[in-house]
Amino acid sequence: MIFCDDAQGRGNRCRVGAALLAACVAALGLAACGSSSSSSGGAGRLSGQTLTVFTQAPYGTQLKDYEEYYAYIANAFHRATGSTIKWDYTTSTESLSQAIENAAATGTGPDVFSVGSSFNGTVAATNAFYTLSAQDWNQVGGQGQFVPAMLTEAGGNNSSDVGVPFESIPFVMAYNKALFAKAGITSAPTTWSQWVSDGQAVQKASAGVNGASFSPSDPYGPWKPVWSYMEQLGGDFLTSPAKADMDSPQLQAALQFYFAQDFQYHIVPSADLTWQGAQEESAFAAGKTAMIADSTYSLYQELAGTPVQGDVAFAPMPNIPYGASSRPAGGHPAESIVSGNYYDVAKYDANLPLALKFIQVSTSVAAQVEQFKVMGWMPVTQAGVAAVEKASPSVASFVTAEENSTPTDFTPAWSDIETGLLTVIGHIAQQLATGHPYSASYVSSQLQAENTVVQQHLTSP
Amino acid sequence: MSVGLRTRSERSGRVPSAQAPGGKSRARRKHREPAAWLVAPGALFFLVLVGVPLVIIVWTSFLKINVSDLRTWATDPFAALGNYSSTLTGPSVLGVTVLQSIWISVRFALLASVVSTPIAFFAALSVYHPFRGRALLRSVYLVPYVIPGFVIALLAQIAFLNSYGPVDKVLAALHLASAGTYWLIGPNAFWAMSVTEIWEVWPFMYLLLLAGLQAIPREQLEAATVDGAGWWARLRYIVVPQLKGVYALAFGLSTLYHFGNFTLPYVMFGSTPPDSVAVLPLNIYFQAFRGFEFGAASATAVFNIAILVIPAAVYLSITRRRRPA
Amino acid sequence: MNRPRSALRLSGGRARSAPSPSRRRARTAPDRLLPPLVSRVGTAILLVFIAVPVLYLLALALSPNSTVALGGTSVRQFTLSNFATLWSAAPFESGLVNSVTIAGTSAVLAVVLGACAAYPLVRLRFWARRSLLYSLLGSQTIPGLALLLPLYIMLAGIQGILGVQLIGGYPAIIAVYMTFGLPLATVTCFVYLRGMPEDLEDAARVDGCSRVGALARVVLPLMAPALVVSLVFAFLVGWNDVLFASELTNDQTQTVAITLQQFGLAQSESAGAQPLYGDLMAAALVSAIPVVALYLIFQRYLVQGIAAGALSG
Repeated sequence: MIFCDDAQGRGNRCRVGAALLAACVAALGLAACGSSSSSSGGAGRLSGQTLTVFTQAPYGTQLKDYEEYYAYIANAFHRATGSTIKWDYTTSTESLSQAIENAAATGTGPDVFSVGSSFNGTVAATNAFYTLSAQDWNQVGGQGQFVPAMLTEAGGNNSSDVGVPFESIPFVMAYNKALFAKAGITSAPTTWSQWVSDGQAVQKASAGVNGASFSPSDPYGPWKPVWSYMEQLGGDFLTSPAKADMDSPQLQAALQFYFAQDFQYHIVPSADLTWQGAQEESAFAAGKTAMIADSTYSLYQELAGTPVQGDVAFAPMPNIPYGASSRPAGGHPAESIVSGNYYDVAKYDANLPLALKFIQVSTSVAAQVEQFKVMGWMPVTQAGVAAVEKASPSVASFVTAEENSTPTDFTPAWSDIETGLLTVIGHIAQQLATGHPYSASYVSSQLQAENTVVQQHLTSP
Repeated sequence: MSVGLRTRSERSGRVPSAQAPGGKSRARRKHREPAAWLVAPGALFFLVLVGVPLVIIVWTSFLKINVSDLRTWATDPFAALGNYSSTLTGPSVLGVTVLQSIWISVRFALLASVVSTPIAFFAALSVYHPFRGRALLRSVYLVPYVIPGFVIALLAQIAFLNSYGPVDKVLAALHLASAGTYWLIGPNAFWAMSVTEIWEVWPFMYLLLLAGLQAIPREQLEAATVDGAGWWARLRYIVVPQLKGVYALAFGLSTLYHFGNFTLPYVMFGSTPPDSVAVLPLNIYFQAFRGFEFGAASATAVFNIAILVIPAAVYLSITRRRRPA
Repeated sequence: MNRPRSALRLSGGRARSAPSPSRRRARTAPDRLLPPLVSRVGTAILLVFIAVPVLYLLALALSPNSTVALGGTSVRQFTLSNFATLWSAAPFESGLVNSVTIAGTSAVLAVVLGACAAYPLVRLRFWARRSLLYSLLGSQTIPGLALLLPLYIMLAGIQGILGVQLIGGYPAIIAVYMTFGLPLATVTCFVYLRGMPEDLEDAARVDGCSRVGALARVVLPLMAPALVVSLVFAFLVGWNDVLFASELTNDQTQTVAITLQQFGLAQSESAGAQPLYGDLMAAALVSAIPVVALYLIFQRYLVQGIAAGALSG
């Protein structure tokens, strides 16, 4: 390759190279300073503003319902304040993660975020959201109006709440009444021993049917039943805010029971090791399985038009470990995680009163009843729950589940805990799928490895 | 006259006038320089939208940034090489170290490129000559590449389901594998992913080869035919030598593409994938967006770039020597 | 470049007839690079290889949502309902419109800028040539994931300085996709141009064109095959990408890739997924059509060989 005359070439190169470097540094500096533009107007002004809310996108069979609900809230908000809402949509937990990171790193973005209960701990750790004072709570109607269980995931402790709950989606078990009746079972199991025996009975009574199913390969599901069982035995992921306990005997026992449904009690199809939630629901909808653990009210709508549509019923999850008649000391019922969504307000939003007004509108009794009617989400206020119970007695199981729900750890390392547990579950499934027997020592070593990772995140500054 | 063209291009091929030293080239250079500015717009966008983020990544790879430090990312404490040492061999939330991920990615990328080669070559060669329906066939060959990757990953997940998916059923019927074999867990997952990737991405190489084929002057083929060369001689002496450059490029780009493919393993295997498919992009993703460990993720990304740049540099120095002087 | 002596044998002034498509000459037609039998059998096998998964996709698209997750599909259950319901299950029309606009604009820009950039890189010998080429190829080693957060940070910074809302609008995402498509477009055009003799441009310049004029009038039309291929690549960058679109578009400008993701991956922390896989497969088929159509239209510019006739006479 021939270059231009060297002297001239080098000179050019030097000059332009320096200019490029300078441009880079300048751009980097500007980007680092970031901008702290606030998207809503002067602090305190309530009318004529726009509030940006980042929330679940309307999609799927409930698309019209979402739009109806959002329109209702927007109208109510406008009537109360004279301001408008701009909805910003997330399509998945991934994009919520990304949006939170972006907001934290740049100091710009939506004013209010809808955050899932378990995820709130990680969100709070970004220090990018307002902590709510007693005054702030009064503006949304006071802490006392909420179902106490829902407040547990609002913050690490009472003085550092970052989120206000606005909807609840408790987890319950779903079962097929017709298959149960054929096996002579009249009510849902309340202990895990009954879960196993009911499953076996259903299998005996109907050929080609499995008692239950599970989904170890699902990205979001499998940690919940494992967590429930562990809590019922009195265990937890953390022994203190700074100490991880991922290799506790209770968690090991929980994992053993979860997989024993396959290798020991044979109540789940062994093909399940690669299943995600979608496959589980498909099998249930075809009448091939009789129970699903940790299901939600939305299953009801998904089963419309399928053969089992009239046969599905819901009940709280079993809350006594296998082989026992009561929970050991320190065990919690843990029938459902505290599950729902919270509104967190970003610190770069200069107009906190407006955001609080929005939250107040969303948690008013009228809005909570509307939310249930249109979306099937449970209310989070006691008044809301009472109103809904009166109107639809069938939601009794969900109300019980919500009121008896146990919170997951509110910690910055929650993301790691959840992912770590999913990894361990995946590895165990892999072992079983490749012909190895369930090995307690393998599980223990896997848990210890994850414990190291989680502990790192708890202790690093 | 074509004859004239050939001799002139021979001449320019052997002795490009730009290399002739002396006054003539300098006068020519003054004529030519003005057009160099054509590079500027592209270079500018590239610099701003890729260069600056790259500088940011390199900068943050030396900082300690966790979920609580995101707000002040630019001024976070210096971690020197701490991120690098902790990510490379340290435990990761995926249960697979970064070094192991790199090895999986390398095997995957090379396998996919190597197997795509004969398919792509065949396809490009077979649609070179005109025939009725060629336009349609050329477009059909593009279809796998055009369907969104995320959809193919989901389709593959359903297709490879043990017991229920068609792959398992067909292989069992043909007695090539036992019924109920797990394709989405364990070592088999690697092969399932590779097959899916090959099916999806071979048209990439095919397109580049097709463009390369068009660049071969037709007179050479005509002359050879007249002189009695059959398809094999034409292929061997005219086509393949001239395709070598394009093929090397296609192979390199293809391998880089496979290496960086995040969508396929992520969607096909759900999150927390089996060990055999824990490729490097997944590791980076989990560090950055599940663990919020931005500093560590940047370090992994920088390392990723570094280890890919080495073979790229080797490739470039090889082709540089082969370029017509 | 090594050229076999036989091919170079000048045939003096003997006129050569154009290759006849008649079967008699088929075996010796110059553009036949494979024996007919191999060609036909191989094509058949390749078509089956491509068609089987696509047909499976079609079968799933015609199946009810509840059975698709377990691969259940049977001809008896085929229904066109998914193709009807998908339009109301997510904002699909606006997704298609946005995708076509964003991917189309960014592709055209990427190809134009890429061809323009490739030309000096091939023809001129200037100082930055080598580093530019290396950085183009090197850019392909950067994992897109890693650029997500820094890119957002940078755009937010620019947004703050200019006081204009960039994120969520067309310009930002088009600029990003264009930049991502640029290296491939440039390199494809570069490789193609490298093999093209300079005489054609020289002839044009002798006739009075400037450098740029020669580029526009003579070189670009001859580069058609490379331009077509670059266009396809660049279009697909914008069409299929999910990561950057999820960050940089809002619900009005979201692309069809994001809409598709809503079907398959939309999960909130608390609610179970609604696996509308049947709708998803139908939507995927629909979203593949524009690109295939685009290619069908443009592929006729993948003409054979370089127009040698331009210089004769």
